[in-house]
Amino acid sequence: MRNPNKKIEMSRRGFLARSACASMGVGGVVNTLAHMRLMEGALANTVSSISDYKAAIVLFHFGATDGNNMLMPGNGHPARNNYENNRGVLALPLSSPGGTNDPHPIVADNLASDPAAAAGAENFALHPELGDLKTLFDDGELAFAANVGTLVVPTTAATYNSVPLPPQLFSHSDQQNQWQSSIPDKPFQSGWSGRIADLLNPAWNEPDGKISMSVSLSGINDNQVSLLGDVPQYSVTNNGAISLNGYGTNYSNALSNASDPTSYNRNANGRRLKAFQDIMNYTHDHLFEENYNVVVRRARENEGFVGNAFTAADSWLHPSAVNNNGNPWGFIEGTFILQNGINPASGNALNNLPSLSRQLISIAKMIAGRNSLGNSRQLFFCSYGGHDTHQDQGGFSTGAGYVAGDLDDNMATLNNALKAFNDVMKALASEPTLGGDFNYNDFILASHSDFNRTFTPNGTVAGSSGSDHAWGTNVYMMGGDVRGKNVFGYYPDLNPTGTWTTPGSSRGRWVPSSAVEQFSAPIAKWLGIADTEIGTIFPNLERFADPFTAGYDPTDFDSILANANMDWITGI
Amino acid sequence: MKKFIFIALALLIAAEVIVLSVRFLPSKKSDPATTQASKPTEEEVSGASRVSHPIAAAPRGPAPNLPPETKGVIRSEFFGVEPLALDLSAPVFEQRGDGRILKTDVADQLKELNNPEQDPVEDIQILTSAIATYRQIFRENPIAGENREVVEALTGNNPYRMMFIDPAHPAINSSNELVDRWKVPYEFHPVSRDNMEIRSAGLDRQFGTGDDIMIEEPVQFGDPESFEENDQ
Repeated sequence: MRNPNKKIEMSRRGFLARSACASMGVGGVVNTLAHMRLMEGALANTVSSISDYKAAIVLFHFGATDGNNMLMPGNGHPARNNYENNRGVLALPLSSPGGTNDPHPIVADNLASDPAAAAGAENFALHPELGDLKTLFDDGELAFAANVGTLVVPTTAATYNSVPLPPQLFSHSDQQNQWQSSIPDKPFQSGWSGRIADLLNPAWNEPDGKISMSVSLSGINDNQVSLLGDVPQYSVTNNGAISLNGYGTNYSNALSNASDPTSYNRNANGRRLKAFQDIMNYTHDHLFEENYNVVVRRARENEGFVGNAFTAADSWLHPSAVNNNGNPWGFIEGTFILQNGINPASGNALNNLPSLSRQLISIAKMIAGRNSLGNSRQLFFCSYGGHDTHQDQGGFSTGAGYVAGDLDDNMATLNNALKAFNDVMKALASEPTLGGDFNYNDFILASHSDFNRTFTPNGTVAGSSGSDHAWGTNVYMMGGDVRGKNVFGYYPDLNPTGTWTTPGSSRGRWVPSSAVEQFSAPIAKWLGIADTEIGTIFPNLERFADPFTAGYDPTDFDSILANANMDWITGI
Repeated sequence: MKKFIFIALALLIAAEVIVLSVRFLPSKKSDPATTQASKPTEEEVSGASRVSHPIAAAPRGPAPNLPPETKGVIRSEFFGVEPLALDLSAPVFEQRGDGRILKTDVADQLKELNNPEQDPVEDIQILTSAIATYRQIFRENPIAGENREVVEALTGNNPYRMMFIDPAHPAINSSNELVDRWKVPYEFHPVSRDNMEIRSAGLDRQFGTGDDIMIEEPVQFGDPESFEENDQ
């Protein structure tokens, strides 16, 4: 046993991470990151309150969403003819008999005002199930980035066979990993969010305290893996923190007050929990034993912090949604329940919500209860799956009409989750108790996806046909600081055998015109990463054009590669 | 005490370097970990297991579209992982006039592909095994989002220009796709660098129906208990 206040200068985990990195030739990045972190920490004042709060949320579409039908060319768009002529049964008409499944037209302001853009290039349409996202887009709260993907170097169809490509293109797990690391040409070491946390955590968050800067609602993920090992991921479930088993919900069988970890009941459960916690409070010379106890102790502490945040958020009541006991729902849960069309008075209203809504509820609660978590910079990761629509994607044919499929279900889930989350964030900004100095522009949500899906279908039957693995895809961004009502990047011409697709394929696999790091770098900068440190977070970024430039010449790939058109966050 | 800790740390570093070297450095002769799984049996090396089958012996039509010259792009180079070092003079490697090398043991197994006398799930099993052999040599699955790209990889578009299947195999159609016994292209689903799901549309020639055929997990030959028809 030893003094619990004595710091371990270097953990075994940290040592292994450093030695492994050094032996694999990435020591420079590690050292740079560590050095910058120390500088950031030294410059930071003692964090005593949550101010200048910012939360970034990555929403991963596992399985690869069909970005071609999430954001499609609208009436008059130069790619519309290719869409209608080559997408087969996956092509959704802009208007159909009855009009109940029509895509939602949107106009991108940045392209409408760009003299270099082709006539009609600003006209897009959203999937029929994204009606609320059209409203968010039109209100300037949502934007899209077109044709983003993993790249090692700037690549076009013309250079596809001569430049290094991301390893294992078209493979789910590899591309998921590369989106999350943004370093496709190196063995995985860390995620881009994890590196941001390494750098920002000591400067912005309470030292040695409270919850991790990196919180996952989707289990362990690659995006939040810390390079230095100093900012571990903390997993939270849809119901809140993961508590120890065997003591009842929120330790109700062992504690008289769930928020007080020492309020032991005078029963066997209370005594057992006290004994367990006492044992965990011992310190050990053996590193493994000590780290085991540290993990348990931190878990118990984090439970309390998260529990307090949830409790604070739950005190914010919904004005109209009433549960089956006649009591008002919490504002956050009630908003999601109503948005998803679920009767709030039904007994299992909460459990009937899709997982994505449940995850965003938990994130919204942690943002609302941020003062209990101690972080001025918070990173969240959430996800939903079911996008690998090789079959039953849904589509349209003259004979069958509109046939809904899995993509429709996924887009409806997305539409409701994003709309409810956005509503909660806007309401929180004006909520007198929890709002505080929170502003609507204190969060940004950005999507990721394995890759896009092939433009051409893999069958001829509307409904049962689907699409296969492709590359560059369309993603979205939401939040008050997002330059909404715009489409960034470059939308392909949708010619499946043209100059935007991988050579040799006739399926329409767009070569990304923007790299993941060009898309993600604005988030890092928005969170507080200095210009001089962006390259530490995104070491391959220097190979690509500065994301904070604009331009549009769809006929000139050199122009496209030199103008990232990815300056999608205002004020940075 | 400090000296002891220093020595322990030095040993730890040495062990780490050794482990990483084994994992990442190119193999001079063979990778023991891989060789254990991929070591050809004596029978395979000698070719004694080769069989002749009506499909293989059937008259062949004009050669299908041949793959382009190898692009020389092996994505694994970014990871410092090179293909398995092979003795290309071994009996299982047959040099072809165009510079390609036929891996005869795998090609012979693939002659059984779409053999009407065997269960259709065995076709998937044969293809799975061929992909597994490719992976053992090149340390990753073919870079392929499409059936055609799998065929290109198996017919020479790889760093060794190695063919695992005869380009004139009757299961390769005029679009350079591997088709099942009902002439429907197989669906190759790249899940990860070491997991390629293979699916046949089955008798009804429609994917996503109850008679689709696939193997849930990669299996080795001779383990028929490990696969089943997909009834989903």
